[in-house]
Amino acid sequence: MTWPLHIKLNKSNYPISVVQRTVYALARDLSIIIDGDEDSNHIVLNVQPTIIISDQNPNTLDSDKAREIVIRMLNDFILRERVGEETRGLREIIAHAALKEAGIRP
Amino acid sequence: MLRLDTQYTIRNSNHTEIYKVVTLQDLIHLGESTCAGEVSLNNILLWADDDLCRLKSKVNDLGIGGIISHDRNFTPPDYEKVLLENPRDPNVVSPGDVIGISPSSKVVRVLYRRGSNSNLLFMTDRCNSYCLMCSQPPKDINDEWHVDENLRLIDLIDTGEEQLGVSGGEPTLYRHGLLEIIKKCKSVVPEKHIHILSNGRLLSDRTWIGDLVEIAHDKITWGIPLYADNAQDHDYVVQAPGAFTETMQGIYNLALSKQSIEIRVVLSRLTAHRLPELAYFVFRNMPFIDHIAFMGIESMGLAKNNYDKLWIDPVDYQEKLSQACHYLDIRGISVSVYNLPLCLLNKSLFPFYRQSISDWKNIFVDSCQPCKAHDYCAGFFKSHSARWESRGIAPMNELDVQEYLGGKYEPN
Amino acid sequence: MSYLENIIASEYKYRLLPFRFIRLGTKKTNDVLITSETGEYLFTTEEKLNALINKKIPKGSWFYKALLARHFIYEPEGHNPIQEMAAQYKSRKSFLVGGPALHIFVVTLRCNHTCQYCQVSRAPVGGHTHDMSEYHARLAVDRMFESPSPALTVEFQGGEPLLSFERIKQIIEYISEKNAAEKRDIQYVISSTLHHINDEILTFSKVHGIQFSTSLDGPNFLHNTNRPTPEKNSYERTLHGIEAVRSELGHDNVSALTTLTSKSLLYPEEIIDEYVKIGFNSISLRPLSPYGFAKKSSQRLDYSVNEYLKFYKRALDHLIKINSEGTFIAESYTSLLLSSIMTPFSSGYVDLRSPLGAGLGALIYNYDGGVYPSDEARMLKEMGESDLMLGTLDQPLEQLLTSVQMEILLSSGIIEGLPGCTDCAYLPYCGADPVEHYARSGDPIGHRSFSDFCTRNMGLLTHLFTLLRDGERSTQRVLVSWLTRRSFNDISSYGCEI
Repeated sequence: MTWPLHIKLNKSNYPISVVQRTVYALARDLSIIIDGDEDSNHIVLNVQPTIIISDQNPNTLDSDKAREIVIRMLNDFILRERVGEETRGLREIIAHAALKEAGIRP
Repeated sequence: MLRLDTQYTIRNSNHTEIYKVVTLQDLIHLGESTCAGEVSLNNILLWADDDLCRLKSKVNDLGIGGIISHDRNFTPPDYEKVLLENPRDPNVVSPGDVIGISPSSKVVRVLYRRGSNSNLLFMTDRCNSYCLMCSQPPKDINDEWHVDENLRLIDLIDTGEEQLGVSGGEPTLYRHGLLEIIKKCKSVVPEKHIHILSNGRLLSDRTWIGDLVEIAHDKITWGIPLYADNAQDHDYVVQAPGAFTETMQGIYNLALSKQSIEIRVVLSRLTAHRLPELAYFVFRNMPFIDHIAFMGIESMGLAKNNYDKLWIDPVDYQEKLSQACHYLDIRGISVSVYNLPLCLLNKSLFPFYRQSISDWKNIFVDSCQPCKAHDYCAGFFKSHSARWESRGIAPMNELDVQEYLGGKYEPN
Repeated sequence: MSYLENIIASEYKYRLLPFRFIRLGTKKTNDVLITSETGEYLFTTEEKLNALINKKIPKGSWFYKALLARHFIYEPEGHNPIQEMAAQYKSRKSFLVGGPALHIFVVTLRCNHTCQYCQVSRAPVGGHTHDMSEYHARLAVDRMFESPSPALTVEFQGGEPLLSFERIKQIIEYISEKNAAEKRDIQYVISSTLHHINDEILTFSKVHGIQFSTSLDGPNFLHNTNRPTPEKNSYERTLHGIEAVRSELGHDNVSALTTLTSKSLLYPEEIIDEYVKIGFNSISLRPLSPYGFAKKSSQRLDYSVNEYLKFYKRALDHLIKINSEGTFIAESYTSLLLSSIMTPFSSGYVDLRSPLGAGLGALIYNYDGGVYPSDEARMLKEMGESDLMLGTLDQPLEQLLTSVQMEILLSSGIIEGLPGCTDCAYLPYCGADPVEHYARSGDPIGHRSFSDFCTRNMGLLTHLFTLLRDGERSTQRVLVSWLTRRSFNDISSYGCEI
């Protein structure tokens, strides 16, 4: 159980938008600071368990589990980013078609 | 099961014509209102019964189209009008029916049968799909003359609330004619419910919406086949790429035209495996439909050539059929199951069973002899043969019939 | 796949449609839930999720067809699904068309109860300073008819609205007068303790088809503890009121809801059994709101979201058991979540919509002439924060709905654009509640990771999806029976989710 946990990420694999969404999603249980590195290809995440709000007893959340959670969440947001890229604009098309049928002019 | 055509000895017929068969009594008492619309007496054939026989000498004076006689002894002397005699099958034509004849042919077609539940206006032999199980293989001919015949037929039929079908081939291929027919039905027989069978593909043209809304016939149901929840499977069954997309668009256009829609699913090896998925797709995407009909396959026409692709023993799809039917029923969509022998059905499906669409198609086989459910069972199509017969055919006993009639559904 | 198969697959690559996913957090392999823009869903594995996004799902496979049919993918050379997707989307958002349909008239603040969690700053029974005036009442009706909705629900609340029954009568009579020309479909509901019900009220209610909604927190000991009155007999009088309404207006013309305090959380089975005993066919197990006296006495009454979810799961188990034994009783919030998940239809519930229901779907006309987008906004004002009042009754509806307050709500009231929500798989089934977020955290947008509203809805939805995936046949049948409002015995196990 070694806190704070440091996770080094390659920027080209993990764009900043993915990292930010991950930090937001995990905010209840993990307090994460995003640090740039000297080497501009990397970001480092400084991870601590939250104390104030979390229902989790901080003693039961070990840093290995936390690392797993963070990596998994990062990878999930990468997937979401890929879906988003490929489907860009489609949500608007669907909503537009739906509202047009209803006689609502956008 | 009574056929729709037979042969007569026909005299004095020099052009294709349709006639209403009327008894003298009806002509006297009802006059022209023996027909629904406007009719000329030239389109009336009098039925040669005892009343008419008494007038034998005077028949030439009657300003009608002609006479139809099943009595060998009745031959009006020097009759100049149309005369039909010596029917091959005397059961086919009866008073009240509307028949069609052509010169140089002995064939008499029954276009409308009084009291039948399956009268239909036949629009065309042409079709823009080529379904693997098509019981009436399409012909590439110009037969638009059906439209005119149907328009005149509407005038000659009876009034009354029975259903009138419109079918083919693909009726929408004669768009203008179909719209005229719908308009005329509204005007002449507004009490009749019109059931149009169409693949819906040409209805993907949005201009149909304006035309249908303008006519505003509020008693039409469009029966549209849908065979899968995806284009690949549906298009394969109807042998037309793009058909699924067009049919879906047609369904939405009908909904926008405030038409009543029925989805029809022919049960075959190509459709059975995804029945529950099709039910789901219909509920999610077109919950506005009024009815869905699942139908046993007719082994006629192209179905015969495609036996290997199509044949599945109905006993083997009862589970999937049950899932599809109950799923839709409980979510508020009306469900029917047609054209299957009753003994093959999962008991939970009894409440959805309808005996038949057509009263002229059912027969029974030898195994059916001791069965107590004859009065309720759809039996088999006339075209039935051994290789299309389920291994599950077995006579039902009194208890089975009680269970069917009880209609009380017991879930497992 | 072989090299050749790979080439063929890449020739016929499908394209993705917008979809979202979440892990249900159980040990099962098909733990990933994917939801499409239409609100359709599938359970799948992590491997398949990756394969889906990497275009590796074999064309024509069962999963491929399911993805096509449920609008996760499409074939660029094949069927264009836009029309049916738009149709489903339009159906889900159909509440947008027509304007506010729920109109709540707060006719008085007077009440004979002193409920600890009261969301209302109540006033004593005597006196009329906290009653709605005739002038304001008429204005409120005028405002209501400015909404174009063909169906209107008029709900009377308080305090205890029956203490101001003359005003209710006057309002209904004025509505009937105007409706002769307007020809809307109007439903009336009175939310009442039923302690002040009498024959005159019942007779009038029968004529106008008024429905009643009351509070029943559970058995005697629980109800009377939560809802004290000077005579300490709230439970008995409530039951008496229920009986009176039933015998005059019909069994189903009165419904009930519970408000759960931390004490209530100890008694899920008892509360439900009480409802069954009294013969209700629906129960609403709603948690405390962070408003009114509840916020002030939060130490003793409040409980965490997780405690609520534990209670809910126990309660749901008990309800499912009772239903499968033949008694129909549905939990109302569960029923509307199920409706969102399993049908393409929108529910009538204003508090779980995107764009938000407050203001757009419902309006509150307060006794003092203020107009609010929701009851909660009104309570915030009672607590001294008036920011969300839309305006006053003498302003036309158009002005009220284009007010600055409404703009604030709209800019934080569309979850399709909110952080944390935009990626959430439950988005099609969830809604916006900027007023609750504002009340809890001072910010109408809120932070999803710290939002009780979010945690609660995610907890409920995760639980329901887990039941849909893993539940026994009898559980599935109960859920479908609630969805369709048919009895358990009418639901064939063949009719469950596909």
